[in-house]
Amino acid sequence: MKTENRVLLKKRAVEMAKEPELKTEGSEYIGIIAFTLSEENYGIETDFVREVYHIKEFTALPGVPSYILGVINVRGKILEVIDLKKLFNLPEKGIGELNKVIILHNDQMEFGILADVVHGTQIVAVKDIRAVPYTVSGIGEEYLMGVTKERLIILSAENLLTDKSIIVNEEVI
Amino acid sequence: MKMFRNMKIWLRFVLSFSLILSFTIVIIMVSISKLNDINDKVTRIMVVYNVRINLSNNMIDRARETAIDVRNILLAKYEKQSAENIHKMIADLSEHRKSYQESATNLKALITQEDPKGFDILGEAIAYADSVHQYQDKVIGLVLTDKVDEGTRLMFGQAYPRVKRWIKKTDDLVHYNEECNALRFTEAKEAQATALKTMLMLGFMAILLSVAIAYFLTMSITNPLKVATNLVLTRDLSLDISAYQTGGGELGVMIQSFSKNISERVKLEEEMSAKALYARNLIEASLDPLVTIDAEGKIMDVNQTTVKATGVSKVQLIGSDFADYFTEPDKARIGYQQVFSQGIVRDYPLTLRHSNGSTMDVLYNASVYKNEAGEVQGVFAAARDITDRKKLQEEMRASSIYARNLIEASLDPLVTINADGKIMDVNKTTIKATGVSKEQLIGSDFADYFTEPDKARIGYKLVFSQGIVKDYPLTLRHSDGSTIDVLYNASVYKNEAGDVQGVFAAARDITESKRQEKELITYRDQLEEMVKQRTAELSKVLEEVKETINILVSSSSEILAATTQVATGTAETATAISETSSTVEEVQQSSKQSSQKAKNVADSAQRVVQVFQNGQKAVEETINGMNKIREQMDSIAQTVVRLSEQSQSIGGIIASVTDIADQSNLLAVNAAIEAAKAGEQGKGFAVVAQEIKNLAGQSKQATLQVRNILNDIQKVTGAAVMATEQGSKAVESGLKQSVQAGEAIRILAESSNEAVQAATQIVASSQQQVVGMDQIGVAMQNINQAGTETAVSMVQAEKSAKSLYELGQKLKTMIEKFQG
Repeated sequence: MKTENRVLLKKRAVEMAKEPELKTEGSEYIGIIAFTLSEENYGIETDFVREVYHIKEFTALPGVPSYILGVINVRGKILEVIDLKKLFNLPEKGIGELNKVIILHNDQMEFGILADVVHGTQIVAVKDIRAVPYTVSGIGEEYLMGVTKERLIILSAENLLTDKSIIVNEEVI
Repeated sequence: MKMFRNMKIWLRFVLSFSLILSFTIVIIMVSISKLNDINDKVTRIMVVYNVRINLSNNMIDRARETAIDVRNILLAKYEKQSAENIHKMIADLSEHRKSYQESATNLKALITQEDPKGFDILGEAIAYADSVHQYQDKVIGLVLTDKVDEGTRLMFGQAYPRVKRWIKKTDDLVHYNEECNALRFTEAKEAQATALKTMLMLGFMAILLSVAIAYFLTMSITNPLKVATNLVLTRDLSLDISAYQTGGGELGVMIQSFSKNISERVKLEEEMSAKALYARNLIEASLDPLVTIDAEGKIMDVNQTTVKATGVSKVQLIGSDFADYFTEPDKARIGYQQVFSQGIVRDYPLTLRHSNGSTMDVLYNASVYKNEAGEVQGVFAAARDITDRKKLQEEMRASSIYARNLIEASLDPLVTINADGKIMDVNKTTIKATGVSKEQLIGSDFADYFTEPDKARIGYKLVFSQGIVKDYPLTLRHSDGSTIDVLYNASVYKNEAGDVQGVFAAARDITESKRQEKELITYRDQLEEMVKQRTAELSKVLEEVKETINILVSSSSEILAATTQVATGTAETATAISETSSTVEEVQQSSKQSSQKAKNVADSAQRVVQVFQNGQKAVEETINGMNKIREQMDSIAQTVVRLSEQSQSIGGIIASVTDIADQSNLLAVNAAIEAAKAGEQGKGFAVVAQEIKNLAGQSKQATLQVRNILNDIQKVTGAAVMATEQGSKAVESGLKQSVQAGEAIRILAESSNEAVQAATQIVASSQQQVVGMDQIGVAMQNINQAGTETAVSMVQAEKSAKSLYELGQKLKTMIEKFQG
């Protein structure tokens, strides 16, 4: 075994060994899934995530606001997909091959949000999450939980799921 | 400058050194003034500002002390100390205030109106002090009336801030003074730097000035000295020794007088050497061999003529023995010894021997020469060549004997007579004619030997008067009584000076000739008679002859004309033939050359054919090689195309691997989510999910690398495809060109083959031509020879015709003469 690999493994072992801090005692810590939207790092609570899905094809819907990309078929379930970039007025990048959908759910709602890159799960201490500074432009404050030291913007999945304004209920005559 | 040159040297020194001295004084003065300036500034720093700072510090201390005093009073009151203590403290306070006032007053005295800022600050500080004092008084007043709390409040609320500001202001004053101090220090430093600079500059200038003065001074002394040295060494009088060059100082005067001396000496030497040269030239120019001999007989000096006469070089001659160059060395030795003993010898005959064996008779004139003290130094000998003179004497003697013999041999009586008519000399014929001996004849009267003495006397007098008399008839009387009729021819003869010496008379006996004349007259008469008869007959015959001759002359002239024409024609023909034959020769030459050339052409054409065949072979090989290259290129192209295809399929694989990695990543994320949902039990699974995620990340990285590499490969492959394409195209065109080249070479070879054949034919025909031209040449030579012979014989014929014609003419003339 090469020394590099050995060093790597050792490093990993050390990283894994220092987990005791991560005891999820009460609501002190929350698990999040980190993802990227237009070069900005975002996070969303794992508790509201059903799964991450690789979007292969989607069906656009007519007569809906622009932030609704369309609907997708996830193992026989039809789910709507929201493009947060549109909602947050972030620069468009287009749907590439690597676009993923993070499927959120609670008791009433289930829909997917589009992500450029999904990085994985992280655990963040609630006390590290700070209030959103005013400088974060264009994003509806109601969807944001806060910002971590690493400038990871934590989205409030609950607010997203319970927001009535996202629910489309237009009557087309 | 000129003034400086003409200065006396002591004046130059005094001037220069006084200049340097004055400059040095200036430097010292400037330095002192600058130093004073600096000193002044430093003193100010030392004295004034330090005192100011001290005073200010003092003020601060006092201010603090007053503040502390007030506080102490307060504290004392709190602690309920005795009134005595408090009063003592109040006394301290007033003491401190007084001290402060003193310092402030002193400072005020030091800070004048000239320093407005300092004055202002001080004023403000004092103002603050006053206000503080008022508050403090109030506080103390309150304290004394037992209103301690009120006092405390007043002190903390009003007095303390003011004290702080007061102290701050005073502190400002200190700072200000320190700033001033620093400013002065900087000024002092600057002044010092300026002074240093000025001094350095002045010092440098002083050095420069000194050097310049030293240089000029040295030059002004050494230049004239150099001129003088040059003058002495070279004696070159053309050097400028005028006052401009040497100056009017002592040196100038010295050099000028020096140069005058030298120029006079040089002039004297030149004159002397000119004289010596003149004397030497005289000696050398002498045509007589001149030589000087010392007492031992050795040659000391010779001139060029001596060298010529002896045939020995000057170097060899000098130092050798004088006597050795004569045929009689002993006689020569005696000769120069005689000169030494007698002082002079004249015309001493010797024979000089030349180195080539010839001799020269000379007469030596020699004398001793002396030096200035009158001592004999040697002999100066001059030889004179008398060989010619001797020869001349011989010749003269021989010619006089010859003349005498001529006279004696004459058949005519010859006689010379002097002015008195006396005979001076006679020849033998005269003796015979007169019958008187020579001794008797000489000295006797010339006229006595003639039958008519008077006529004879008149005759010779006539000669004296006219210089010459011809055919003067006289009759000579012999001693036996017979007489001879003679004709006298006489003329005067002169000596070398042109004076008449006497008469030379020659008589001719005419007795016989008179008798013959008579007989001749008789014969002539008879002949004339006969001639008359003959002439009559002849004239008849002559008429006939004349006619014949006329015919002859005319026909011979015609013959001559014809012959001349023929001769001219023949000459022209000969010329034409010779021209033709030369032309034929030229043609022959050129045809030979052309034959040679044709042969060369044939040879080179043969070689060209050979070269072409080689070329054809080489082209065929090239085509074969090209074909092989094309095959190779085709296979390379196929390989490259395959490579490209395979790399594309690798790209496909990579894409799918990337996809898989991506999906694994997603799976890992999902697994992590699931693990999180599972809570405590899912923790182990979360680790596994993390590992999977890492693996997915790595495989993605790897595929990215592979893709990069593949991209490079694809780029290179594309380039290779292009290159192969171009290569096969180039090979194609190369093949085409080599085929064309082969074709061209084949055509060229064919045409050069034809050229070879043509050249061979040309060679053959030109050789035939050469042979023909040779034959023509031989024929032309024969013709030429024949023509030349014809011309020669025609010239002869013409000559004969001419002589024939001349003969006719002559005959004609003769006949005409006869007729006439």
